[in-house]
Amino acid sequence: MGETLAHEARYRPANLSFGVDPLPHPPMDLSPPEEMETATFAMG
Amino acid sequence: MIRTRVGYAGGTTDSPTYQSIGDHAETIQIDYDPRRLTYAELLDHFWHGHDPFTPAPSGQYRSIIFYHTEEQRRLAMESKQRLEAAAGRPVLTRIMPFERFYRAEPYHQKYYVRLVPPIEMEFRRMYPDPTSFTDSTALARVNGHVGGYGTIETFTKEIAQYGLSEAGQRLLKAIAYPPRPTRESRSQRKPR
Repeated sequence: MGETLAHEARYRPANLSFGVDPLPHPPMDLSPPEEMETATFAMG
Repeated sequence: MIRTRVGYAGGTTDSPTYQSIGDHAETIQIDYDPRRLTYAELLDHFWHGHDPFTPAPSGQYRSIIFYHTEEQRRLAMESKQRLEAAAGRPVLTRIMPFERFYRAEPYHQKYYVRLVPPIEMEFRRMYPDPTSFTDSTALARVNGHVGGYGTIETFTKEIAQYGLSEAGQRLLKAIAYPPRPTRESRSQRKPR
């Protein structure tokens, strides 16, 4: 029993809580643009 | 704008953190669609978003443009020269090649949304992993709305795309775009 719980604790995804299902990703995030560039700034 | 993240860059020390930033500067990184937002427009926001004429109180807060391409370098140089000519004084911003960006700790990312726990929690259930949470386009948009950097037009057009519950959508609208007081509601206020 203790071993089973320890196994579950070790292998259960750390991002899930018991009884709480993750929400689906936002529609906006499901279709990223084909073209993308990156800009980097330090501004105080 | 597709994604945003804050972090540290421009220094030489390995694995900087907020508590041990070394010689790095606090930095923002933006992934964008160049067909919808140009680098010149981003530079415009950069120059107007801080004071590039006054020396920073420490290296952590210095002003730097990290260029990723030769085209970005050219545009950055030209815009700096234009600003100096218009202001008649030197701009202290350095323009240097991008080398490496270190993400800041998760608790620094998406600052404004963290001020609204019900909305933050909805996104945490969409993105339990901190990196995916930070890299969500929808969350970046919501963060901008909460921070006062959005428009009601964009909000109205995109709200259904953010993945929020109806309660989350109502809360976001109430915070970001509260109804303006009408003449009638102003006149109904009791004098103090």
